[in-house]
Amino acid sequence: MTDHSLALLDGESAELLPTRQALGGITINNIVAVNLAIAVNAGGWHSNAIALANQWIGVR
Amino acid sequence: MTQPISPQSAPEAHALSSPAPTIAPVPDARSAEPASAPAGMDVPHRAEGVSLLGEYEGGGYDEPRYLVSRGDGQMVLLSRMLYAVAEAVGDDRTLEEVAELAGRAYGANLPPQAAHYLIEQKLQPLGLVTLGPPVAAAPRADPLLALALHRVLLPAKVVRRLAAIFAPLFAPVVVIVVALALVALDVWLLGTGHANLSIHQSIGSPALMLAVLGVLLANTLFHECGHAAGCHYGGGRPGAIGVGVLIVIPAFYTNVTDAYRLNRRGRLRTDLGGIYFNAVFAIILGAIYLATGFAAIPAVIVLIHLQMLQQLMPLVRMDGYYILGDLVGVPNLFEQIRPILRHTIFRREAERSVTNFRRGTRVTITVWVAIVVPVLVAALVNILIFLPGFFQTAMINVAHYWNLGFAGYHEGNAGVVAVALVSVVILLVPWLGIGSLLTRTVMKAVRLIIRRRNASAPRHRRAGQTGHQQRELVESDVRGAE
Repeated sequence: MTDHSLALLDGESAELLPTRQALGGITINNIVAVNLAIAVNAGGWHSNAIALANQWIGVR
Repeated sequence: MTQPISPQSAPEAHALSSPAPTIAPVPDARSAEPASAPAGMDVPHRAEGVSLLGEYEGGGYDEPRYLVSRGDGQMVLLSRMLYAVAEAVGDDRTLEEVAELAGRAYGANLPPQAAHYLIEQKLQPLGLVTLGPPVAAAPRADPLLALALHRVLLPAKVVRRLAAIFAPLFAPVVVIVVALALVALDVWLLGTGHANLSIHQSIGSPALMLAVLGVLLANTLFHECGHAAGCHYGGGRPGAIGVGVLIVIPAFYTNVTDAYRLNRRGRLRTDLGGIYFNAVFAIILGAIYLATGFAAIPAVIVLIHLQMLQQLMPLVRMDGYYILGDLVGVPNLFEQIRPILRHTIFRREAERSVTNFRRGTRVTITVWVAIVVPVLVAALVNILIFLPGFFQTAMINVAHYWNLGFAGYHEGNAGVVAVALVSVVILLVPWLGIGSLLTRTVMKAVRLIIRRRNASAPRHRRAGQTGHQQRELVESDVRGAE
């Protein structure tokens, strides 16, 4: 009984909650508009820009 | 919104609203030996700025959980017994009185030593209640996969004004109209082929590119206003809007910590407010397109839809994560990964944090863990394997755009300069995020080692007693009660 009661006291939970930050990802890497001269994120994270003469938008 | 269990100034009203406890009763306090706390330490005090916010509504636990906010804004989720003790503290009540009041509110007898134990072991380390001098630096939640390098763009005061202005958009009739308008817009754009045509034709010049980026940034900021307005509509007080880096993704954020104290509906409204405002933004752009025929707009609307879908993924702390957490009633899903893995994979005995969930909640969280852990591990391995290649590519492109910017500057082409600068920033942000993540990981590891080392040393509890001695004292008190 004693150990049981102490175990119950130890089991009482107190949890720190993280700051709640509602995020809005700036997903500009969705646009992989490739232009040989002015591609904005040709080397951006996870983008696979290929320099082409044509304009295109790659959407992940 | 959640309501306090009882008025703080009315001791007789300190009764938890939930039914009698299901736990085994603690021995009768009246028959126990008097608490032997040293003089001057038997009157616990609530720490300055602590507010008891009442039940965390819509929780997925077997037993209700209760919210407390500290003076520094840190929210803490407490079990019923701890909340009863925290609520009983005050008005210079002695430990015996606190124990009696808390026990009565909880529905079981609580010896003063047990109350002392709970305060000293649970409430005091978190900076909620003190038995002696205040805790010098109460800990704060510091999740690893949180936003890093954040800076405030709009202070809370401004955000609250904006939230009040936009809050009427959450009136049910407006929500219905927006939903119908979005469906009509999508059907029209896809049905007429305007979206395809726009994607193939629209983007090509630096100026247009910057315009598209500017519109997407404005859309993301408006998304944040949606969270703030949703929080405000439910009765919460949104905080600042800022910018930071989530692992490798640059992101705006709104501090809606106050939404914890809203009911489930209010929290979900706050979570979905961002996506809802994206829909409003898309409809406004659609109206501009109808009026002007500006070719790039349908492509931007398509990109906004993709942003909305990305936000719904519950893998990292984007909107989908909070939506899932609020649907199952668990405010911090990432904290459940370790106990779930220990129980399901390593077959260890389930911790109380796991067994305290309702069955449906436990199943949902287990499925989420089964998905999110492999995905995050795979992403981490992918980053580590390809890190040198990513870095090399990024640096080559930084040099390229730097040179391009210079060339544009000498030619007097402001558009090229601006695009080149934006490109350089985009290329560098993920590395700032990775650097921050690595630094925090190392610091956390060091802190953990130090904490474990300190924990292995005898701990000074109170008035010369070690933890073992104090435990003995509680046990002897309980034996006396038996």
